[in-house]
Amino acid sequence: METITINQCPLCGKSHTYNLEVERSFVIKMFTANETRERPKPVRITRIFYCPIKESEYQGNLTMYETSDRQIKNVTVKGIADE
Amino acid sequence: MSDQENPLIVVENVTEVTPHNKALYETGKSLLIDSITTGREFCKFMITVSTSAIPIHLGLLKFVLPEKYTLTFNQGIITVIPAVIFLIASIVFTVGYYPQIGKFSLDITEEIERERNKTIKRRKKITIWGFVIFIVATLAMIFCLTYILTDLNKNAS
Repeated sequence: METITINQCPLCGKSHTYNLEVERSFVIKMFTANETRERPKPVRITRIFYCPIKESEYQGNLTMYETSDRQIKNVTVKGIADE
Repeated sequence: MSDQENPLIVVENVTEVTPHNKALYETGKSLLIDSITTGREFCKFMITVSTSAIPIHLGLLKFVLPEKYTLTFNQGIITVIPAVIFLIASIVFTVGYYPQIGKFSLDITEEIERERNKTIKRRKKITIWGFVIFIVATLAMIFCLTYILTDLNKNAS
């Protein structure tokens, strides 16, 4: 489980930390010289977050980075971590 | 702008939910809530359809047969088969409509999700079987009427 902190909630203005379940697929492959130069590719996703103070939802645009051997399959917000 | 614990996850911006995403979110919410009741309502509807198909079948037979006509043994058997299959279909749908027993805690979301998925899978299997039986019964009804009509035509000529 990974966590992210949203410093300023658009609804209440406070900070919230959320648990994120990131599903990744691991690819086993031969390591070549090209692979060492590989730069992680950005993956942009939008997820709905729940503000526990205003008891309402807001959205956050996240950028995650994946490589050819560690691809992102799914990202799920698994509730608030700082409760 | 916000920071993050994980260096591979960057929070770009946070805003109130856009109207489009709000609509999508509401759609997802209703899909999640309605997915159990949809299967149950379908079973309820199909019980009515299957049971009412029996008098329709008998009514069509009465319409096709001449007055005071007595069916032969073979004709009798063929006439009864679709009605019996419709009855089996309605029993299958009744099993699907029957409340399911399950145990879960409202505090453990995984348990709720597991029970929900179990109910949906079970009902999906039953509705598919029920619908296949219903189609077989409909085809049997068409076959039965065609058979009786050709038999009557043969006897008349």
